[in-house]
Amino acid sequence: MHAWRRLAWPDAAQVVWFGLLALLGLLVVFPLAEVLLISLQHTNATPPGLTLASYALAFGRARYLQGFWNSALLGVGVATLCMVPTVPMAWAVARTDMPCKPLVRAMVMLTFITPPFLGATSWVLLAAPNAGWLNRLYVAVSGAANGPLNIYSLAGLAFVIAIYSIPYSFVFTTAALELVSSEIEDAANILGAGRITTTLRITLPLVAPALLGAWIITYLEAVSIIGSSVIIGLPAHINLVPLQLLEFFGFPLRVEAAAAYALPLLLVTVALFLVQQRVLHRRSYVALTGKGGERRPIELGGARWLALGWALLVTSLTVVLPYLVLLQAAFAKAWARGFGLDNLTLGNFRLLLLEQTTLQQSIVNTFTYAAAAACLAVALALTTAYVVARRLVPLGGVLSVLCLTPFAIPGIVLAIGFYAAYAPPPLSLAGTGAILVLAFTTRFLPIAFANAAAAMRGINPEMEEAVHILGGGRAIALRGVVLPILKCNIIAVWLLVFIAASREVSSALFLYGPRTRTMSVMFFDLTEGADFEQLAALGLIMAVTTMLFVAIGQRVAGRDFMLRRE
Amino acid sequence: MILIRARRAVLRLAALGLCLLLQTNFASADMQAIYDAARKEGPMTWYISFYSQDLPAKAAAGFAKAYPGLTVTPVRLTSGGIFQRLNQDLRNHLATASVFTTTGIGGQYEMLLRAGELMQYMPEAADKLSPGVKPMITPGYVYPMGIGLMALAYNTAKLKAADAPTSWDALLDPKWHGKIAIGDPSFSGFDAAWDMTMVKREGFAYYEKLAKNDPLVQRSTLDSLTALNAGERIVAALPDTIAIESAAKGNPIAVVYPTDGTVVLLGYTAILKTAPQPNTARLFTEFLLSAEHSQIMADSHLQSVRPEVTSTIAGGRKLGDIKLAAPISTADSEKVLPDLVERWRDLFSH
Repeated sequence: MHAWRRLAWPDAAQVVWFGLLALLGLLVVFPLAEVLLISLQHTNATPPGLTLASYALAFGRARYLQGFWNSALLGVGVATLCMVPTVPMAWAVARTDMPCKPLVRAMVMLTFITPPFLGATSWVLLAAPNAGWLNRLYVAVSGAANGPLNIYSLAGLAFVIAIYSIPYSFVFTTAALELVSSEIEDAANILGAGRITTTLRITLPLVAPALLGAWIITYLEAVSIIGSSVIIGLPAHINLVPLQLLEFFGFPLRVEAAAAYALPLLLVTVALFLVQQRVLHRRSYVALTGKGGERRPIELGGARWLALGWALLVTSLTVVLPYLVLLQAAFAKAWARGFGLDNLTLGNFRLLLLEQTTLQQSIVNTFTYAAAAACLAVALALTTAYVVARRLVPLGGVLSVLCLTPFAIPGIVLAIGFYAAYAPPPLSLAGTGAILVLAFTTRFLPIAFANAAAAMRGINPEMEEAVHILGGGRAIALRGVVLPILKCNIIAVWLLVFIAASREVSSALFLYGPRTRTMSVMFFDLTEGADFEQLAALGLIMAVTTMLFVAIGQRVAGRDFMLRRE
Repeated sequence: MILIRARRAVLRLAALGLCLLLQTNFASADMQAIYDAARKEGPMTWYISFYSQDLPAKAAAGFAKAYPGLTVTPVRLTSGGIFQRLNQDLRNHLATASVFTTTGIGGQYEMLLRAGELMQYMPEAADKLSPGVKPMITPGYVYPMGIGLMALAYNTAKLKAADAPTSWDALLDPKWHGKIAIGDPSFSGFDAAWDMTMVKREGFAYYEKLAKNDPLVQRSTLDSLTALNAGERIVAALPDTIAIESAAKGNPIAVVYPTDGTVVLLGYTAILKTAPQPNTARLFTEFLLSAEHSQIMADSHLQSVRPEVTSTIAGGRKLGDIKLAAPISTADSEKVLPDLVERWRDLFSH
């Protein structure tokens, strides 16, 4: 094994190693170094020279520190809470004979293409203490004075972030579960373990890397999410990292303090990564051995309807209820007048699609940039995951950390690093689509990498060694074995990055130019104005067009929704 | 009657024809020279935050009509966001925008002036601005181009007009406990203007008292409007323009101009020293201060800075019909706002 690795093509390994280092340097290290530099500068870079004053400012007030603590708690809560709906749902979809799986997958996909911003807005209308639809329904039915729900609370905030984080965990978990062979479970059954014991003690532990990866991604997302923090955290009087950052970007402008405030999140990410390494160390999670590996769905009997019910309940919270609210507003002349034939109109859509010339360009921009970013991120993540998993290059751990760090820094801060890195000469990318593509690639590289790394852990290297024994080189092993096995993962990861990039706001806000506006930026712009009806219409247009592109993508790839293994 | 109408139509046509003929015949030879130079410059980027949504595009279209062959492409963000963008351009020595139009909240123009980042230009249109806004001019650099108003609004389905609060002080009445929606001054320029006006008059104690009424604090004006429309809260501090527009669509919203003084927020414009299209920028500045542009604003219920364009406020009244609070100058806001925002957020966010 060692000999093969070293002697087969040392030059190729070196080329890949330097290529990856150069790319990750350009995409991750360069912008982060700029953020670090800014954090050490004096206000507005005058006078020249470095200072720690911004750190003193950023951590010099009780409320700022409280924001950090609140976000840390929120992150743990959200990442853990998110597992509750996700794991049973993912297990049912991946391992059982639950009916209507395509429907469940489609609903998860719809959840994912719903920008968290939009979801949080809808949930305010659903569960605001006085006027929330659900509260009013409860009052109408029970005759109570008040409804039980209050979205403006830590619990409400955690709930909304958690339900819109489900897709990440779902994709990670189903991808891993689908690789677990039934024979391992059969062995447990033969040894006397029941179905539940087998699932809890054999199947789920086998997918621990994926679960842990999902937990970390969800944690980091919850800590840095801007939309939900603003829409729910602010009215709940809870200071959070993203709110504090926005304050530094407001009056008075303190970019240096924002950079200083965000950078410690990097340490948190590295710490999480080390914990993950420690937990997973010295255990094998190889599920795909190439030997046999039959995968049959577990027959649930009557319980399969229970499983479906659970999945539909969860996705009705993420999709059905929020879109009902949006539909009502999008087709209303004045949404506050409620349902009614005389209140119906297509005017909001006509205005956006036909009269505002900017939207058409925004739609094209959005999907071009998202597709380009997805291709770049997938290629980079898979290559890195492969060479790290097979230990083909030195310092694999460093590469892994580099791939994961961008997620730790909130997009709004990352954007100032991107701008400083790519806008001035020699790259001179200010106002171009390329700067957005690079930013989106970096920002969502962690999602692609975490997923690819988890997938690689599940593939037994013996299969590639078999190729070698039969005289094939690594190129053949990759083309003939690894890529076909990972084909589903590749499509899934591509879609994840594509969708995440198509709805990205925070890093795009400071990077877009007059001709490179995306739909999500336009959406954010509308949230500043008066027109909730138009906002809802644009939200629907975003969802429908994304859905359309995803469907086309899958048709081209010849696959069902999200990573179904046939 | 019909004759009069016909004659008016003919006169209008004649006037239009004259305008078309005179389109490039400027009042002064200087302007003609600037226009000729501008036509060689290409599209100009405009950083704008005073307007929301489609107004920047309307203004750009109006400019293209007034100065054929010239193009302005707007980049719109919040007041804080647009200043950050400009800042990152300056920090990286990139000249992107030529004209910077915003509320100037927090002393943005003062900072740019001190750093020597503004280009000197004396607009010919400056003399024709309303006497009321002339004191706000920083000669040669910063000119007021529009006026926004921060007033009270309420949900007409939940509250009768007679019961609506009529002043800012009325919001402190315990009967409004749990019924008020406001915005956060670190995000919203209009709320920052309101907060500075109130603190100047009554001290920070006003917000300490208001906090006892447990207002719903959200980021932007749209959030307050949505809370009002949904009936989540019944009374809100809102820019009158967005309340008027929402009510015009049929939403249950009405505006009250507080008897203790509607808050005034001015929009300003300046040309950047590094302007890549300096001549287009000069003409665009003339346009922003023109009657045509003021009319575009007036059509969207913003207040004009030109005396000959009268814009209406809610209920078809005029600006002169209501009591206005003295606007806070951008220089004052630079001194007052940082401390105010800190105290405000300590009070409402922890």
